[in-house]
Amino acid sequence: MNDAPHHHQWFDRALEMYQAGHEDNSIDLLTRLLGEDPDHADAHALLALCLVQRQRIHAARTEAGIALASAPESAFAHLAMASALMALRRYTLAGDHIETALSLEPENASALRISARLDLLRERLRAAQEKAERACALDPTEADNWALRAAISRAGGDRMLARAHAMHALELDPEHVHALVALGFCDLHDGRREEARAHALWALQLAPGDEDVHTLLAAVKASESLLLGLWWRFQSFVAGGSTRRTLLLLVGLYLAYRALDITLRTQGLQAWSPVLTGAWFAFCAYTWFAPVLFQRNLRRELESVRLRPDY
Amino acid sequence: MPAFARAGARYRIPDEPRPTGLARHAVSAVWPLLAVMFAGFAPGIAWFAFNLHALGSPAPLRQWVLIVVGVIGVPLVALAALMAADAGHLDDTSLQYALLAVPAVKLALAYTLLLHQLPLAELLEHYERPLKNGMPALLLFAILAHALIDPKTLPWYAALLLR
Repeated sequence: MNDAPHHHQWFDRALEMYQAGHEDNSIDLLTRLLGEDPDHADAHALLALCLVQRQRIHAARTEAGIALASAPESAFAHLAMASALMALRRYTLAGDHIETALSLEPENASALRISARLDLLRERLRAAQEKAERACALDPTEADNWALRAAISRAGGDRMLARAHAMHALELDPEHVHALVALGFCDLHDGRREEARAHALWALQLAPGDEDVHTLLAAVKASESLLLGLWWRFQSFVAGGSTRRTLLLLVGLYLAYRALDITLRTQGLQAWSPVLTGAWFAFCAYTWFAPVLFQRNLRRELESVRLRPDY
Repeated sequence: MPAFARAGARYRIPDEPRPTGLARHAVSAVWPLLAVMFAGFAPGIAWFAFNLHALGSPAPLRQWVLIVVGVIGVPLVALAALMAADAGHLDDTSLQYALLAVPAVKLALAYTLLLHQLPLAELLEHYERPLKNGMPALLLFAILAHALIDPKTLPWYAALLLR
């Protein structure tokens, strides 16, 4: 590893950018750093974390693998690998890397947080809570820790505690998207629809592509009108998840249409076949225009939000 | 100017597009997908095959394997269904359902290639390398395919692959 002093500066700068949510800038700086020092294990690991955020999961896994090959005893590299594996839904393998990271650095708050997040994904709330509390005790000024505790409390049904944790996270970082989402869900469940909507839109401004934000907004819409809520939920489902899911859904629908058409014709219901074909073409047209409508609807929602002056 | 802004050498991330002389012909993968739908399976897949090199795919072999498997798979699937019907395992109605496997394989291949190529196209745009508009080529393919390909004059497997 080439230990030029400016590499430390670049790495620290890239880490700051990543933590501030500027993954693209961080990736740019890291690729320059690695251009000069291709064996910088921490840079490979941080690059993996940035790539996970940018949904480039397979490249992230490769980068984390390179980091681990150069530094098998690096907790940071194990956490980067765990993040990539969690994004690939390989939870057991991710858990192994988190365990290794924690055995190397038992007091690592990031490792505890990732471990708690994995437990939350696997619905092991008690274990998640315990780890999130330990992470909080180690680093009480980190908003992520409190937002995570809010998410765990919400999953456990304790909305009062979830609200308190989310508020605490927002005191530390007023733009913490997941704290805003947790607070929005608490508001919605407590019947404060307007506050929930404001929190959802504020989070949407900060992270327009975040799936949790869309889920909250869909829930707010559903509380206003069942039909509108269903549309938002469907549109978020189609647009939100992976491209793979969207495409599988559309191919599946096409095959279902063709199968139904054959059924109609073989059952002597030929008269309904043009109706079905018309409905299918209408749906196809809808899939072309729906994203535009959805984005316009989102923009309208964003324009309509006026945060209280004392917010 | 910060030191990193002056640095020249850049590390290449494994999923990044490779430099290629065909880059000016690269299009978004949506266009070859539309060509599969409007011009036919063979023209669309051929465009996907060309585009994977134009985009500078870092793993072209995987996509080529998919293309070969798909091109062999389409007539094989149809042949299997027809042989099952010939052997009396499928009646006319069941055969119609079984033949749905043909568009399923075609669409699955086209969408899988799309999934491979879309992120590459997005990365090229991210690095400010503009993509070509695929609309003129799509129109040309669609018009030529309808003018030149008459499925009735072709053997069944060729018709299946071309349309």
